[in-house]
Amino acid sequence: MARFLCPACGAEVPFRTADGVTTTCGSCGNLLIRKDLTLESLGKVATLADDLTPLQIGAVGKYRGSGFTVVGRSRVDWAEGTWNEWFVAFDSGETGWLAESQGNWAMLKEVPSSSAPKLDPKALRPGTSIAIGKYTFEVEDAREAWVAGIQGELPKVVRPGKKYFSVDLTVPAGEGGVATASIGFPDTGPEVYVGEWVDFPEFHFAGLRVLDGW
Amino acid sequence: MQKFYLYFGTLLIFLAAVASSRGYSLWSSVTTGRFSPTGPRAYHK
Amino acid sequence: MAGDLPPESGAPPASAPPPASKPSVRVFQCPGCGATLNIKAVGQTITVGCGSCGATLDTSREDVQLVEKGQVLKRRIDLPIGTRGQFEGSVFEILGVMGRHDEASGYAWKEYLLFNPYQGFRWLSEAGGQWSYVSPLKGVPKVDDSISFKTGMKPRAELGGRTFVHFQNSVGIVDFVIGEFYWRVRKGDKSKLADYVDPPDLLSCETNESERIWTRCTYLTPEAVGAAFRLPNPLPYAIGVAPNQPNPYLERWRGLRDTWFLFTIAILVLFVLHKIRSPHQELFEESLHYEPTATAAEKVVRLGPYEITGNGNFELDLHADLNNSYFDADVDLVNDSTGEAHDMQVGAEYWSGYDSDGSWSEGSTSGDDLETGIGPGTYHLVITPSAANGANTPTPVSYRLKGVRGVSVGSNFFLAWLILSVYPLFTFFRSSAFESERWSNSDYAPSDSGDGDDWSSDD
Repeated sequence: MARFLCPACGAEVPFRTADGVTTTCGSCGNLLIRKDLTLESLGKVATLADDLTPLQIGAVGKYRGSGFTVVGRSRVDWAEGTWNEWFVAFDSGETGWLAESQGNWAMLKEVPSSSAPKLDPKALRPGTSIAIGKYTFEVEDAREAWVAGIQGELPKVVRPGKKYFSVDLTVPAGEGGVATASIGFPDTGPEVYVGEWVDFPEFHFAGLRVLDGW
Repeated sequence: MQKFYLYFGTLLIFLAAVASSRGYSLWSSVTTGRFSPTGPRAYHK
Repeated sequence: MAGDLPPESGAPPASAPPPASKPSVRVFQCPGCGATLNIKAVGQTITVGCGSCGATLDTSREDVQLVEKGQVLKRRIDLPIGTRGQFEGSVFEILGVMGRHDEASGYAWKEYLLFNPYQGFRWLSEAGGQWSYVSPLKGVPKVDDSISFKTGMKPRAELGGRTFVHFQNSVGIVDFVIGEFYWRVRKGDKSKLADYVDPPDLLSCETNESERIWTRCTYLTPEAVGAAFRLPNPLPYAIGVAPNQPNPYLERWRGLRDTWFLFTIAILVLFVLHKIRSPHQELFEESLHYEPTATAAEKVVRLGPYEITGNGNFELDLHADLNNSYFDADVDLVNDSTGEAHDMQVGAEYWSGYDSDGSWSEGSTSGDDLETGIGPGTYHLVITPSAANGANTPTPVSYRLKGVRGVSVGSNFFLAWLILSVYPLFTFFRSSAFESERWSNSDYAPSDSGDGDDWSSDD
């Protein structure tokens, strides 16, 4: 855990993960970027609109026996919908992403983009097969997306509104269970994430938002 | 329903086996109209 | 636990329990008619169908946009928006209703969107009173498209060790939307649908330009849906057979078939044993002649004595040289030891001729009689024959009479087997009829009408 002071308001700002690059100050709402031993303010970020997600930063859960804490959130929009990507810090120091899409939950970890062969966004359409590591995935969705809002600690600088190509893939059930993958094509180069679908109760979350009426 | 069929069938087969072992033929009885042995009766001729 | 961690940026203070979140219902006015509408699945809902004016609204941004005006038609909505029901151990709320129809056949169905913040979205699909509980499929089934009309092999999808057989392809067109939806949808939207069945489940693959979604649809009776929502009134009856409706006769048929098979084996074994144990002892075979001109005393034939050693039956077999005549004989089987007699009767009639249609014949030249309860003893037979022609004039007849004791009686077993075959056969036909009706609505219906029943939209 690294602790810094917010350059805008002086409040204490922690960084929970070694991968964390940006975070929002809990007191003044400024977006802060970590540069070596200091923080730089990038200005205020609009607070993410309240929605009906049960998850919140600070919640803790378990995945395959390892405990993790939710430290950041990125809300991603596309032409026909929206989903949440939660940045999580495992007790072991590893980090991962919890994708929440229409009530479906998947835990993904980044893998080197070299584990997927030549990735051409134009060739990835629903039904296309590509191999990542030892699995053969099929494209389920391929569309343009952009980050609509951020919250908490994230491992990269995100520019809200900047469009990038996003591809979701699944493995035919029976070959590797319910593995799923996601590939993003931002300007900085393809980012490949591999993981699996998990039913919400299997995370054994604690510290969830209490939703009135539910 | 299945149990009923099983019990009924077992009973029916048992009855068929007993009838045959006694030499009795249901089919023959139906065609001749005689369901029980006509004898024995005292013979006077 | 949240209480053990130091405060994270953006997290509530660790010391106090997280305050209950107000449901953040988003309230706004319909740009089409001004009616007050609200959104419960805040952050997810981007399309709203106004229940008052039928307009389709885009709610993805701060300002609500009118996409399309609409009209409100009288529709049967079995599950009103806001109704809550219990599924998979969680409470779900109806957020929206969408009506679609198949482009080719006009067959219409409704899809009710269910929502729970922890479980996500589900659907209830309804057509003709038949319901399915629809959930998103994690993972993609393995699809084998090979098709053979010779072997009747249809395309199939494999998932979790189960094989789902292709039922139909269709194009779904949206007719109306009322309530909240988490994707952009409007009247007229088309998508390709491919259904694969393995009752009570159905796998559906829905494809449009940007995505492909697989769902699993599990059959529900109207009673089950009514119970899940605790509806005061029962839902409409289910009509016909749904693609994923379980066959109530199949289990029964399978059980009966196995029992019937066991019965058949048992009957065969017992019959063979019976046949082996039957003495089938021929006591006599005599060639005799009936002469009508003889005296009454001369006409009576006496046969015997014969020794019968066991208990059982006694069979008389008659073969007569008949030519448009009949023959009858009263036979007394007398036990000399006990003085008791059994009455038997054996006869035959045979008629033949030639007419405009050709030669004809009627009757038989042989006959038999069986008597049971014959005990051991010395027996003789007293035979009183008679014979006449078609004019009832007595005629002479030569005949052969055979007497066998302890004949096997296979007919009892055969009759039992016939009786026991009725119920399984009946169940098999019911099960087959059910499957025929199921498949009459598929792409593989044998009739040339193609899609079987034409389910018209109930709008």
